[in-house]
Amino acid sequence: MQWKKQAVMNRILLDNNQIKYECDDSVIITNCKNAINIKIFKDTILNIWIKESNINIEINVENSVKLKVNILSKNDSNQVIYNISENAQVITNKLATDNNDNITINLNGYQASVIYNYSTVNYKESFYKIDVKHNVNKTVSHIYNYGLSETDKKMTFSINGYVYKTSSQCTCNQDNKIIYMKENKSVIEPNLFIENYDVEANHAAYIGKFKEKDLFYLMSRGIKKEDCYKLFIKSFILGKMILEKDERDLFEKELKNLF
Amino acid sequence: MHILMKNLVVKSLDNKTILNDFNLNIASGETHVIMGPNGTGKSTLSKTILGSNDYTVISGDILVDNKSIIKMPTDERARLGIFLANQSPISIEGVTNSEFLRTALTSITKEKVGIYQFMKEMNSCINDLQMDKTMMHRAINKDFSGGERKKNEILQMKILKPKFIILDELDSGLDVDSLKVVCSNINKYKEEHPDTSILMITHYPRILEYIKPDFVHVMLKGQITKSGTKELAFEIEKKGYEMINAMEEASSYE
Repeated sequence: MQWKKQAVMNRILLDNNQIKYECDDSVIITNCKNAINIKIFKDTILNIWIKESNINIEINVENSVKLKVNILSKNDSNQVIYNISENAQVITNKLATDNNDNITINLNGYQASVIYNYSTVNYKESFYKIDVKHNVNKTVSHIYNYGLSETDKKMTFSINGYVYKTSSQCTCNQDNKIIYMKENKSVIEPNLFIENYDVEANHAAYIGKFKEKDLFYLMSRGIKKEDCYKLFIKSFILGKMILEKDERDLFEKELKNLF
Repeated sequence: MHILMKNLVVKSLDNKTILNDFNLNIASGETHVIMGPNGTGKSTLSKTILGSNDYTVISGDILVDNKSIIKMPTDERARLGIFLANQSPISIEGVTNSEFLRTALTSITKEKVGIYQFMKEMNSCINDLQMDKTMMHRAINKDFSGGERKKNEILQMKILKPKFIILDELDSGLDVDSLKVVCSNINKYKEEHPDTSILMITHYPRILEYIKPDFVHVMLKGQITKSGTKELAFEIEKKGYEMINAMEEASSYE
């Protein structure tokens, strides 16, 4: 992965545990060995490229700030913590390859919200865990986790939504899918730990192959099987992501490099 | 395009025989209609022609311009010019109509399709079919009504320019006005491409007011039991399939 010319200025590159960044005044970054702390003060877009790194990241989003984070990540084992304050809104789009991610999202302020779009393509055995903690009232989470397992290696998703007794009128939704190209024993654990009664909470989990009837439909229009799969993979991996055209181009390019 | 189906015997995955010695000859430029009660194998026929894995051809053959297609995969059959407008078009999340159609067009024409020319043609077809322009950027049939899905099938037909069109219950899910629009687009296509053959599967003769058939066939228990002209369709509506079949059996007994 290389530095690219971006429409926005906020970029962080973590390459082989080396940290480089280029940010405007909406972001303050402090870093020490194997850890980086990011504070977001103004509405902004943050692009993070991570490659073969093992760095813990903490992202603190101040009151009423809107943050979009786009992450491309390869061969990493990162622990990422989001602390989201009152009325702040976070959208994350993450495309990972062969990662072992451990994510915690703390919805700490009233009406804090997160849309977390996580897509991963894996060739090795992998473990992905995300904990979404609704620590106060009227917090909202929509978590989409999509995994494509290219080999017979197992992929494990542990997806946990927590709504505590003290947190009222929260929305806690998660949608999880793993598509495997070769038979394997991938697992999704879609957990909702709900201690309150006035919560909207949904979870869904699907493990399987791309649908035969979808394949037939595309092939019946003259598209070769391998090109059908390319279309399916692109739609599966990028379908939920909230990306502007230049951002989408980058994600598509990254995806193209994988197939 | 000339299509000949010879002694086709087709089974479903659960080993039920659905097409049983099915024969049909569609000459280049002809329009044939198949009518028949539910579960008689009409949709199986359409999917078998396209090589669906849901069915196994036990014996018989399908010849397209005298060439057997029975061993060809679905995409290859489509690239020959066979097109199925589905009875219940599915939706596919994430794949946009324009991306899907441009990929299909590139596969069929084997040429890189310029984005400007493609969008121009797509816009013109969308206008012809009185569809919402935003549909081209939406996922395939996602949140489309039944009528929009059917129109989308015809939009694909107009863009991909097939030589043999199978219309599987085109009239179901379309209101009267939409049916007129869709049929006038098919008729216009047929005028512009007179060698195109059409196989239309329907339950109701209403659609035959808009698309004029050369032949109408009655299909029962996986085979054609009676053939005639447009009048046969109205006879079926009046008397029902069982009566038509009983009359046919009686006349062949005599």
